This record gives sequence, structure tokens and C-alpha cells, in this order.
Amino acid sequence: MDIQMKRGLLDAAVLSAIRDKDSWGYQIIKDIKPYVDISESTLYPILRRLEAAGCLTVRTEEYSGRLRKYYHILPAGRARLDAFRDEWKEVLAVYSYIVRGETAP
Amino acid sequence: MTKTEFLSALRDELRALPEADAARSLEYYHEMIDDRMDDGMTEEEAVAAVGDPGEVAGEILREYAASEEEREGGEGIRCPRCSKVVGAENRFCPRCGYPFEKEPNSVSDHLAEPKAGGPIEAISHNAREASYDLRWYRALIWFVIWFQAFLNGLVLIDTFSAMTDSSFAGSGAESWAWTNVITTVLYIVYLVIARRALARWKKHAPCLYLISLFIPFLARVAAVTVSYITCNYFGAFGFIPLSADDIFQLVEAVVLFIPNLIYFRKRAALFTE
Repeated sequence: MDIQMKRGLLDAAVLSAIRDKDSWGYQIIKDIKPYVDISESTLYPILRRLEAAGCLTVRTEEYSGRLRKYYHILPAGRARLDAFRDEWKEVLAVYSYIVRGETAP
Repeated sequence: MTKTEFLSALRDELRALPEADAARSLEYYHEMIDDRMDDGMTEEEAVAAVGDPGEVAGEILREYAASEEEREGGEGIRCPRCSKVVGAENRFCPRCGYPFEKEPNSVSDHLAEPKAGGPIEAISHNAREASYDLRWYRALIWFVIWFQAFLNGLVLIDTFSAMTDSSFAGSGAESWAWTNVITTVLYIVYLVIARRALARWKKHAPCLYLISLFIPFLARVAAVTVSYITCNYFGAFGFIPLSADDIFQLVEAVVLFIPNLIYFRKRAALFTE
């Protein structure tokens, strides 16, 4: 997938992975991986960026004798997901313009 | 490659980053490897899945440089070697590794300077903090807290059964019994709060936990002292020596409290994020 397009999608995918309940790094990767390719080193900057933007917060909790970071979505993160959903209609309109006249394989 | 090798290689590659950023990256990859191992991978596989430390570090440094560029100007400093403008909190240029020698310009700056070793030492110190194996200690804390809760549960049951006794009413023991019930219930609630704080890794958790050890200790000391003095000096019941049971409990409390205090003092950084 095109890197620019993927960047926006991944932000939304990460937010959506923590939308219903808090989650941790490896679980987020496992949740998203079936849909879009993501690795540890891709996720890290996304989490940092979303945290800096006030979309999520991090808390450290103890899990089976070690520390694990849990990510919690903030209202700004939910707002961004809503915005993504609304924008998607425009994206679909552009998409149907781009692929007009082509027959689906 | 083992987890330790991976992390120390990564730490080495990230030495140009500010301490806090490097430590955060290391914690993140540490957790990832642990989670993969919990998921059934061997250590070797888990490390391999995360990637080559050089490539991982490259990714982190690139992302860091990009976020530095997005930063608004003003508070940055310019690297004299490669003339990149970077955040003022950097001690090394993230692009070329040039060390910035900042003059300590206030007392707090001076105090904040590391005593020895510089940022590399500091980073490895942080990573060591995060890699303590807490398993056995966690089990001990849980045991101590639940055991105290259990003992207090027994005291409650005892008190209630005494209160239902036919000779209880009018014996003048009501106020004693109710004080006992209320303080015991409050103490159990306190233990639960201390346990939750520990589980959530709160800053005040060690303090709560230590106080939970100290409350029964102080109560015991007070009770023993009072009975010792009243019996031996006011002669109401004749001479009563300290029982082995009392001495044992006092020794136990000291033995539990001091190593716990030392342990938490050493690991204070784990609880203060």
C-alpha cells in the first residue's frame, strides 16, 4: 500500500484498536495485522504521535511480574475516529471517480 | 540473539537520544519481546520477530529527527557540527552525535547533572530499573497482604461470635466489641486499597503497603506495653512475663518491615513515572 495512504489509515486503526477497551502494544499489533501490515517499529512512532496529540494516554501496569504499558483512548482520539468515518465518504467518492469505467477483477 | 543482547545493542545505538526518549524506546521493545514470549515464542524467535537492533534504532532515530523538525523554532539549539536545530533538552545532536556541552547556569541545572558516566550510563541504569524481575517479590507482597486480611477476618468472626453469646449483653463489653469490629473492617478496607495501588503501580503504593505492615505492629507494641506495665507495676494480676507469642510477633514485624522498606527505597523509580 502507498506509504502516505497507509500512515493515515494506521493512525485510525490504532485508535480503533483501543476504542472499546484499553490495550497494550503487542495486542494492538495482533488486532490490526490481519487488515494492514504493521510492525513494532511502525507502531511505536504512531503511539508517540497520538499521545503527543492528546488522542490517547499511557499508563504502566504490572502484568505477571513485569511492567506493561496500556493505552487508553481520550475524547480527542474518539473525535479523530469520527472525523475519519466522515472523511471516508469523500474518499469513497474520489475512489469511485478514479476507478470509473473499470471492471472489477 | 538473546533479549539482553538485543536491548544492550539497541541501547548502544540510541545513545545520541535524550535519556528519557531512549529509555522509553527500550521499555517498549523490552515489553514487545516479553509479550511475544508469553505468546509462546522462544526468546530467540521473539527477538528475531522484533528485528535487527541497528534497523530498529535507525527507525527510532529517523522518527525522532522528523519530530524534531516539526517542532516550532525558538527553544532549539543549533548543532555546531552539522548545523541542525534540535530541542534544547538534547545532550547530543540526534543527527550527528555531537555532544553539546551545556554550562550549568543554575543550582538546579547543576544538581541535575549526572555525577559520573554521562548519558550512556544513565540510559543503561534506566533499562536496568525496568528489567527487575518482580515475580517473587510480588508473590510475597500478595501473601503478606492477603494473610493479614485473612487474620483480620478471623478476628471479626471471633468478635461476632462473642457478641451473640448469651452472657454478652450487659457485660460492658459492647463498646470494646464494636470498636474491634469497626477498626478491623477499616483495616481490611485499607489493605484492599493498598493492594489495588500496588497492582496499578501508583506512586504512593509502597507507602500504603509499608503502613499496612506497620499498623498491626504498632497496635501490638501498644497492647504489649500497656499490659506489661499494668500487670507488673500495678500488680492487678501479679507478675506476667512477656509471652513467647508477643515477642515472636514483634520480631516478625521488624523482620518484615525493614527489608520491605529497603526494597522499596531502592526501586522507588519503578513507581514514579
